[in-house]
Amino acid sequence: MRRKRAGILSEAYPESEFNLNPHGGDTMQQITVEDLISPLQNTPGFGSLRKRVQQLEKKGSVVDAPLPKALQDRLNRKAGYEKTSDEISKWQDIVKRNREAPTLVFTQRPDLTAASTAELAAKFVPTTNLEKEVMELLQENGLVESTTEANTALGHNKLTMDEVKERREKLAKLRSMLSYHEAKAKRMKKIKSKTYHRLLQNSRKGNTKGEDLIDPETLKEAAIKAEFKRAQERMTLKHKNTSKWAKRIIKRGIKAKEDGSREALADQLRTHAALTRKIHAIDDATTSEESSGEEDSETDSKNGLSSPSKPKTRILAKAKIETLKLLEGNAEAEIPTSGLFSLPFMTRAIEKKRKQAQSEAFAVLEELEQLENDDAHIDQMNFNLEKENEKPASYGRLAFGDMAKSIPNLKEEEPDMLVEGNTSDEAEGEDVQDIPEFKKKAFSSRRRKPKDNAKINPSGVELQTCEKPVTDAVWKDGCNDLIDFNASVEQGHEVDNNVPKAPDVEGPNVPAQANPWLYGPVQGIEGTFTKEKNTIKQDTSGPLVVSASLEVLTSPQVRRKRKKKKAKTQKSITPDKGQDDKENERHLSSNDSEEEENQDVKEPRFQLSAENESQLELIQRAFAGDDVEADFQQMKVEALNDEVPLGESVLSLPGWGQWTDVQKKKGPPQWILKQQEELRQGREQALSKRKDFKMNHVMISEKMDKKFAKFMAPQLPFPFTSREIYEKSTRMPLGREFNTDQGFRDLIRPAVLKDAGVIIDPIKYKMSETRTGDSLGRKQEILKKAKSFRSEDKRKRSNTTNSFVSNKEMRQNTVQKI
Amino acid sequence: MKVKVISRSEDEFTRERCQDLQKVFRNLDPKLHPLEKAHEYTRALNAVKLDKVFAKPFMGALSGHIDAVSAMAKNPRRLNCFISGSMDGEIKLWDVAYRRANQTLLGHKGAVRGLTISSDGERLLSCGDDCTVRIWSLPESGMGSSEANTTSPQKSIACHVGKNAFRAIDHQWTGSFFATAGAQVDIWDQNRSEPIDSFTWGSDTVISVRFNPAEPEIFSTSGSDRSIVLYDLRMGTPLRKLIMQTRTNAIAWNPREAFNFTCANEDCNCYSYDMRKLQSALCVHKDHVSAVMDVDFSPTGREFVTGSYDRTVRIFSYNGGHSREVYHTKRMQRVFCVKFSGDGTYVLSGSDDTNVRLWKAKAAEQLGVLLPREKRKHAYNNALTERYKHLPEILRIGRHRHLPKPVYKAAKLRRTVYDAEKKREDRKRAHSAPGSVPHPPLRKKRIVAELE
Repeated sequence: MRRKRAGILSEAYPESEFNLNPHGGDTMQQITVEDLISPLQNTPGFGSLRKRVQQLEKKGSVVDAPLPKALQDRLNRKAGYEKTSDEISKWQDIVKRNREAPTLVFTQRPDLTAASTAELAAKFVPTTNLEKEVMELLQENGLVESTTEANTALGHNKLTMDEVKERREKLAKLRSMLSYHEAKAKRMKKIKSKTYHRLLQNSRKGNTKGEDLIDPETLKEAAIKAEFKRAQERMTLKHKNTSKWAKRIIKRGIKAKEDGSREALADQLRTHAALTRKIHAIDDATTSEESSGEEDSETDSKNGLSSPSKPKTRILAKAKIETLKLLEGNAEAEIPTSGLFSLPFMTRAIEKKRKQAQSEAFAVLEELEQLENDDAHIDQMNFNLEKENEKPASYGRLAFGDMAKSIPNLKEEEPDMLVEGNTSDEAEGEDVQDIPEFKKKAFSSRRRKPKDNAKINPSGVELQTCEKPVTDAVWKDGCNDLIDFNASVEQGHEVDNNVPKAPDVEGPNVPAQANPWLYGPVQGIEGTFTKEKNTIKQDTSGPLVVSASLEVLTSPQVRRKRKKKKAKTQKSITPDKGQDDKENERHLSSNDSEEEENQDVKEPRFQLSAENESQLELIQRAFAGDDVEADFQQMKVEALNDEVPLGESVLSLPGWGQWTDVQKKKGPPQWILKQQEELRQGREQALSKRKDFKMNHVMISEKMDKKFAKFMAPQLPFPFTSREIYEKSTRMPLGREFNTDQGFRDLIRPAVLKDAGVIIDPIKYKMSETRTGDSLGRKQEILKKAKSFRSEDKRKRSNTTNSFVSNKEMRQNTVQKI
Repeated sequence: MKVKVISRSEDEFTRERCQDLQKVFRNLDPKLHPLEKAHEYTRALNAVKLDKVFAKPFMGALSGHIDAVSAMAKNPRRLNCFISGSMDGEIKLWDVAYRRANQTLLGHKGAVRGLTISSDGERLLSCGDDCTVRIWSLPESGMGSSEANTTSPQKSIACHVGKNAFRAIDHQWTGSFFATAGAQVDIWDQNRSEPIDSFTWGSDTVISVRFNPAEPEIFSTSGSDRSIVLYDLRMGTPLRKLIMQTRTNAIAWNPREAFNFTCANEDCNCYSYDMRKLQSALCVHKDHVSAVMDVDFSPTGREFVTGSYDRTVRIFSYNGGHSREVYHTKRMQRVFCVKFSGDGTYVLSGSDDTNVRLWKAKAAEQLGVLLPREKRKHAYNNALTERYKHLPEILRIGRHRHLPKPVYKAAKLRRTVYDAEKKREDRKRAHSAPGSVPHPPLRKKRIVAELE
């Protein structure tokens, strides 16, 4: 039935091009998209259209159903919110800047930029008849147009790119030249050489080759030339009348009539003098004419103009001779018998000084000898000094007598132990005794600055030397001995016999030595001079104990070994404390008068010093009497009692609890005891809350001064993070009496500046406002802001000046009650 | 012997006229001023006391309405053009300087719910319970506007009728669009009779609408579903909805900080928000003891004024947790609307007692033309007070405000309630597992949800 029915089609309308059969009969094919677009085949863009259609057909998927409305809306809102949030964030910087600004300015400032006459003229429009007539006249003569044309031409005057470039280059060149000249002038101004300035002046005066001489380079060249000429002169003695011609003239006699030749000769001599003198002139502006040849050569060497070619030995020999001379002179010098210098203390002082000088001279002499001997080793020494890790060949231990001879062997055996500075062996100690006193002295003072000598030297030893009459023979002998000794020790090992410490030494020198209060047991310092004390106990029964400390340059390698030895020696020494104390006292009490020193010197007292005692012990002994801690505890208790008193109870009143015998026997009644206990507990609680409760060595007062509290902020105010900052913020006074006018204005400027009666518009966004003006000062910032506000308020307001309040009311400003 | 003598010519120190100022020579050496701090402290103390003496903020009342003042509007272009609408449908144009109404418009059949003035300052727009939005032409007000306009009542130039009552209206700060709030938010063009767009999000009534002064396309509304909704006209959709525990009565955007706004809440507090970060308020402004009905920002953006149902007007700093000033009079009733004047110097409040009141924004400010010396003196005093405001004496005097007894008592009561709540919370926390009872900050506490 159905099929049949499907076959039967009853059309309401006859089939036509406007009424197509939708299903299509057997005869008609179904219309496709391709059929529709095929007529477009020849039109441009057909290819792409067909492609798109094909793509569509290929995909052929169904479009998704739209999301539910609520969800869609939510997504829209979310996206919108994000967008708007992003967009509105552009205000962030502006807002931040405004919040941080010390002052917001909303005041309108009158535009004070005055209009120019040209501007006024351009804007002028004739209104009255007279004006119009004048204008007409002007226009007839073409005056008006010309001016306006000129103005516009000036205004529109445009430069081409090339012109601008050219101009810029020209300016740059000018600027660079200017800066070059400035720099040059600065540099020249900096030159301190007097010679240079003198030459400069001369050149300016003569104006001959002044410009050449201004330049330091040319100057240098000139100097070199002059030097060459001078050298030539010295070599050839060309101008010293050595030429044939000159000789002939001289032979003929100076008195010959030819005046010219005589003058010529004089000229020659003058040239010579000038040429040889010139170097002096360059060296120093204040030329000394009487400079000798020697000095000349010295200056030469100083300047580095001529190489220091003089053999060192010569200098050394000369220096030695000089020193000897000095020594002789010093020894022979007589002490004045009359006048101020003959007074006993003066003579003593003179004597002392002389001795010092002598000792210095000895030192120098010794050094010179050393240098002479070790000339060959000097370079190596320096090298060694620079490279400390290498074996210090030129330094070594002090060895005396037989020991000295055995040193080379020792060196071979243990090269590391070369520098020991340890002479604690008894045998060595004996050897020390053997050495003549002054030799020891000389030895000790070697390599020491003369200035420090007096201080560092152990006065005992020094005075011993002075006690003996120093004769030539003796010290010469000593010198010889020394030289021998040095030779025997081979390479003079640097040994300083730096002697006993405080208690041993009398006189004002004491503190300059080592202060036992300040220094603990002496410790070596890495890679530097190390002080080592060697206390030699020669004879325990006798009072003679040698205390010597040697200052030795050590290498770290050596130090390790020495430490062991040091421990040993310290063990061996057992200082007799009681005796020491006594000695110390005696020495400290003795005054530093010269006689006493001398007496002391006669029998040199060497003893064990306090330096071996530990610092702690010393301090303990010194402060034996005072118990600081206990005192402090007591003070604290008193302070606490003051600040946190035990409250008033009945018992604190006089007479309470002791009226009757019963009470006396039984003690105070229960309630009183209870009260007492409560009070005690309260106090304990209060104490436990204190900051210094658990600090035994600290006392923090928590007393509050009520009068002063009035002037203090109870807690740190909000924006401040530290008390210091807050206090600093209030330090500078504000008033006019304390500040300059400008300072006063700046300090009192309110946070918001605005005028009554002027509308403040909401903020407007401008690109220029986003730029941060960090580099600008506060004032500039304010001005800038003011400008921006002004421009904001440019819109016309008809009634801004109308305030809410009439003038009359402003004056009265009364309160109305309703 | 050499004797040093100060010699000055007399001419330099003689005044030619009695008005001339004497030049004062000062030695600024700090050694000569050992007690500068003490001096300044005393001056600060005196300054703060003087502030109290001169604190007379009430300027006057604009009376004339015969029902409660329900809405107010200020002209963005003219300072002396101020409009108020009352519950009986009357709209009054005030000449504030003379405290009298220039014009009275027979506005609406029911209460006037919203008033606003177009950005060019020419048109007044009002909406009310009678389902109409009316547009009025504002009279040109020149200098001689002191005389009351007694001519026949003006008729509105346009009247748009909506389906529902309107609760609020606000005009863009630049542009010609305005928005009305009621059953939905409608966006209107001044020149068309039909709304050009309308937004709905939820089915509750929208009770206030306010445009952003700095970004004219952005505005926000508050609804009776305790929500605050942000909109952007460019996006064509609402942006975000914030739901708080209590209803927000009014919103005010900060005119100097485009993304910050403050809302007046029923829970006696105001909340400042950054529209980009709604998870937490920037600041909670507490001090009112009853619902805050309206809020308006000062054009300087540094403070805002609030009117409350507790019959007080308060002025807050934009970032201050407590009010800087509280204004009240014996006869002032519930405050429904407040406005800052265009120059930031005055504050107006409209209340239930049919009066619009005019206040000074700074209670002790001297008005009128000031001499430079006077200005400096005031500035110096203010600077001193500002510097020493943390010291106990000055703090006490400067902070002291007399409050009406009911307000004072209510504040006390609120304090007690708050303390009790806190105690309860603390106890709960103490008897719970550590960390199980969180410490939500007040800035987040009142936020229920932020809906996308």
